[in-house]
Formats: sequence, C-alpha cells, structure tokens
Amino acid sequence: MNRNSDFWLSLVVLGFCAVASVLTLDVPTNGTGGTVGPSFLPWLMIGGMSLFALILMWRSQRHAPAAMAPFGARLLTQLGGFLILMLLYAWAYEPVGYLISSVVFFVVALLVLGERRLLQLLLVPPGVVGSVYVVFAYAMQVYMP
Amino acid sequence: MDIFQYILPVFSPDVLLVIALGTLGGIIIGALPGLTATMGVALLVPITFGMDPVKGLNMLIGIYVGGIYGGCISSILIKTPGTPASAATVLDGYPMAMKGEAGKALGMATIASAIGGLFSAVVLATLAPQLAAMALRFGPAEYFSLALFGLTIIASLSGDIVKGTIAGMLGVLLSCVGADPISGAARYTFGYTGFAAGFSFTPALIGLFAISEIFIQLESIFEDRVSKVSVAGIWPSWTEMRESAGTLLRGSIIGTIIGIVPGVGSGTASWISYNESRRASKTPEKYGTGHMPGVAATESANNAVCGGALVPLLALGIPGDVVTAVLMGGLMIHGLAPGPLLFQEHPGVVVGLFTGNFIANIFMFIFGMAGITYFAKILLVPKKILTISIALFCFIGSYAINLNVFDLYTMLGFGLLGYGMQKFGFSQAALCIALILGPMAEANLRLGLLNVDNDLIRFCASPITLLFLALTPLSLAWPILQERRAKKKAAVAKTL
Repeated sequence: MNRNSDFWLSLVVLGFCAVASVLTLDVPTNGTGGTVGPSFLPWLMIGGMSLFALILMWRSQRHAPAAMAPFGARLLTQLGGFLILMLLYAWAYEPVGYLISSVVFFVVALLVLGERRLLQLLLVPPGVVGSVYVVFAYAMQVYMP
Repeated sequence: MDIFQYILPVFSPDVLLVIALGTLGGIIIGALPGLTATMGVALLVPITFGMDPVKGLNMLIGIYVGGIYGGCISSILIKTPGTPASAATVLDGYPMAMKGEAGKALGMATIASAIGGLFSAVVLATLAPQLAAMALRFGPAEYFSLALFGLTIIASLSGDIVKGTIAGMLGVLLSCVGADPISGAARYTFGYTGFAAGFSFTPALIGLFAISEIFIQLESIFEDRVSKVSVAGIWPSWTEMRESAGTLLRGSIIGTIIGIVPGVGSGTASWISYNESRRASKTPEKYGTGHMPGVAATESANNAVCGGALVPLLALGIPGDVVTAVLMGGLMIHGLAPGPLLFQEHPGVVVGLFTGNFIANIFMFIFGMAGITYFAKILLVPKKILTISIALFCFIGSYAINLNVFDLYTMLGFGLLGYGMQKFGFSQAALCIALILGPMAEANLRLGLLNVDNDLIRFCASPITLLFLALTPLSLAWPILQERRAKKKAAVAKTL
C-alpha cells in the first residue's frame, strides 16, 4: 500500500455513502406518529460515515498511513478461486445435500491448497465430513440437508 | 423454613448426574459454531418433561451454563465464536493461541467462567427479589441510553478512532436492513424476501471473524508461511491470576448486573466488561495482542449473565435473555408459573434451582479444566485440513440457525467484508458491537420517544437514563485522553 491508501479508502466510503443515500430515499421518513421515522438512523449513519470519511481523507494528506503488505496478483487469484469454490459450495449445499457437496468441496479445496498425496485426498475428506455428519445429525439432532 | 430439606435432594446421585450430563452437553453444543445454548435448551425441554421439576430444570440450567462457557473453546482455538456471547473472547484468546498459549487461554477462560458463574449464583441465591425490582425500572429510554453507552466502546476498542467509528456506523447501517422494528416498513430489501428479516446475527458473526480468518490462513498456506503452534500449560501462574483478579471481579459484577436487565444478554456484557477492563488497565495497549486479562474480562462477564438472567425470570417471571425465555417454557411445562408466587408456593423448586446453578458451574469448571488438553489438540491438526474443516463448520453452523441458504451468503458476504476490514485497518469488533447494539438503540429510542410524545426532556428524565447519558461522553473522551497522555509521556521520554 502506498502513502495514499487511506485516501482511496475514504473515496470508497464516500461512494458507498452516495449509493446508500440513493437507496435510503426509498425508505419512509415518518414512522407511526413519531418524528423519528424508519429513515432517521440510516440518514444519521450515512451522514456520520461521510463526515468521518472526509476526516480520513484529510488525515491521509497529512500523515502517511502505516505500510501494508502488498497483494500479489497470484495470491489474489488464489484467494478469488477459493472464494468462488465457497460460493459454489453454498449454492450446492441444499440441493445436492451436505454429504456429497461437502466431500467434493473438501477434495477440491485440498487440491487448490496444493495437496497431492492420494491417501490424504481419498481418506481425509470422507472421514471428516462423515464424522461431522454423525455428530450433528445424530448426536445433536441438527437437520442436515 | 429448613433450607437444607430443599438443598439436600439436589445432591442425590440422579440429580447430580443429569446436571453433569447437561453441563457436558452444553459445553459441546457451545463449542460447535452455530449451535447456541438457546438451541441446546430448546432441544432438551421436551426430554425433561417426564422428569421431576428440580431434576429437569437443573439439567436445562446445566446446558445453559455449559453452553455459554463452551463458546470460548472455538473462539480461542479457531477464531470462530461458538456462541455470540464469546465473540469478544476472540480478541485476546486467539492471539494467545497463536503465541502457543492456547492451554493457558482456555485455562483462564475456564477459571473466569467459573468465577463469574459462581459469583452470579451467589447473588441470585441471596438477592434475587431485591435485584429484580431494579430491573423493572428499565424502560425504552433506559435501554436506549445503555445501548448508546455500549456503542461508545467502539472508540476505545478500535485503535484508530476514525476508522473504528466508520466501521461502527457501517454496522448500525447494516443492522437496519430488513423490516423496521417499529413500523414494519421495508428497508434496503430490494423486494427480496431473504432480506426481510435482516441479516441473521450468528452467520454474520461467523463470517466476520471465522471466514475472514480463513482467508488470512489461506494467505499463509499459499505463500508457504505455515508455522507450527504449540500447546503448553493450562494453569495461569499466580502472577497472572493476581494481574487478572480485579478484572475477574469487575467482569462478574458487570455480567450479573447486565444479566438482571431483561433483554440485553451475554454478548453485550462481555464487550462492556472487556472495555472496562481495558480502560482500568495500566497497560491498555496489550489488549488485543493476546493479553490474559482480556480473556478473563469477557469470560467472567458472559457466564455471570447466566445467574443474573435467572433473577428476573424467577422473581418476576420476566426472562433476562433468549435462553431464559426458553427456560421459562421449561418451567411452565412443569406447571410452574415464574414470579413472586413461585417463592411462596414452590420454595423447594426455587432453592433447588439456586443450588443446581451453583453445582452446574462447579461441573463446568471440572469438565473445562479436564478437557483443555484434548480441546487444544485441535491446533496440532495440519493447517490445510484444519482450515477446510473450519470452513465446513462455518457452513453447517450458519445453515443450522434458520435452515436457510441465504444465511450462507450472508456469512460469505460478511467474511469478505471482515477480511477487507482486517487488511485495511478497520475494526471488526466495532462492526460486531454495532450489529448487536444498533437495533437495540434504534428500537428503544423510537419507542421511548413515542411514549413521551417526542418530548426529549421527559425521555431523559429518569436517573438511570441520565446516568448512562452522562457516562457516554466520558466514555468517548477517555481513550482520546489516554492516547494523548501516552503520546506526551513518549515525547518526554524521548527528550530525556
């Protein structure tokens, strides 16, 4: 991160506040008989966040923020890949069912993390997924899809 | 009344056995992310139906006490709060585990939980009717001022006050998603029914702390920076105990008082206790880096809530939190109406519950200390398998709350947000506190103003409201003053 990371962050916060403001216009202003309606707190927070974002921006011009470790493109791709894997797992969790979706997720995740030992790939995922299933579904009586 | 004729039956082997089983079951339920003490008590209410009231209700109290304690195990070991009550324990418990002090962190958490629980059990047994009367004086204005005071914790916890405040305000804004608590008007739902009830708290919490940590762990795995964590020692030293003594007492008192106030809960108690401990400390900069009193503060407070929450339930028939609301159902199943008459008509049950609560805390201590070595072994599991297994638990826990896939996306969304916040120096704790206290502040402010026809003077008139409103600016100013004093000291030291 360079000297102006907080500057860019403050811009992101201000952008978020702008979007939130547009969305808050749809929230009713008056509640049931009170002057404080459903949009009171959202407006208060949007105003406050904008104010503090401006302070952050002003501060970033005066003091350099502490240095942060940079994101490499490779690392970002790897993390993004894992996020997509988790999204797919969430999508498959109910329709495919816990057991199959979890074993597939576990195996693919191990592969993504660089595991290549066949025994680990074949034994660990069904072992972990199966024992978790027994604990939750039978011992705890938790519904598993 | 010969009190011993009511106490002695609790010490019969069958009652002791069900309390022990309840407490052990509670610890396991609490340690599993997504399974809360409320869920455990609710699951076992039907089982206790056929039991004698003292036996059945004490089993439920065992689950309650064990469940609140159990949450700290996963908080400390895998940075995944087992229950919302133990979210604050992550702050110092997990860094201690990363420093190779997982055993000690769990040891202190167990001792603190037992001290907090026993303290509130004694308070419950001796002062229940008198304290319950105090709880009745809390109306919307008092709840609002308490929530506002609680929100000021953000200032001292965030390190960077500007970024912490932004994170806190974002948390309050996110808590506004869904139906408005007073009018029912939809806010930011985009016409999608999944948003109507707002973001579910537990999946949000799991995402904020656990999923974000998974991303951090993935970074180290991808970059081959995996370090071996050791597990050594479970008992804190005398010096460490002495250092935490004041914190333990303070946490127990805060937890008991907050427990007595209906509807506030153990999550709020542990954050307030953590903040007060940090504020009173001579070394506040150590908090958040793996400091033992940080663990003592949160765990003593959240377990003290258990006894405190039983005070209004038994004395007035008002449940102190969600778990005691379910417990109230358990009492009613046994044909017992909680309230002042319970003390006159069923003294055996009341004394039995007081004694059972005390015993459950002792069992919790025994099981907790005996299990630490086994719990901590989780850190010895290879990092890749542990990280994926944690992800698995996160999914199961988030889904189990409402059996709703939307909660899984909520968890992932908050996970991504938490990761970004961690990378760019925004406090996740601030967002978490705001998610807890934001809705409480808003609903009570608006309800309170409606009650007094929007007259602010009448709204602020009660002594409790005034006290908290007066404490709020002081609480905000304190960390700023402390920071300035530290800077001055550093400047003086530099010139010498």
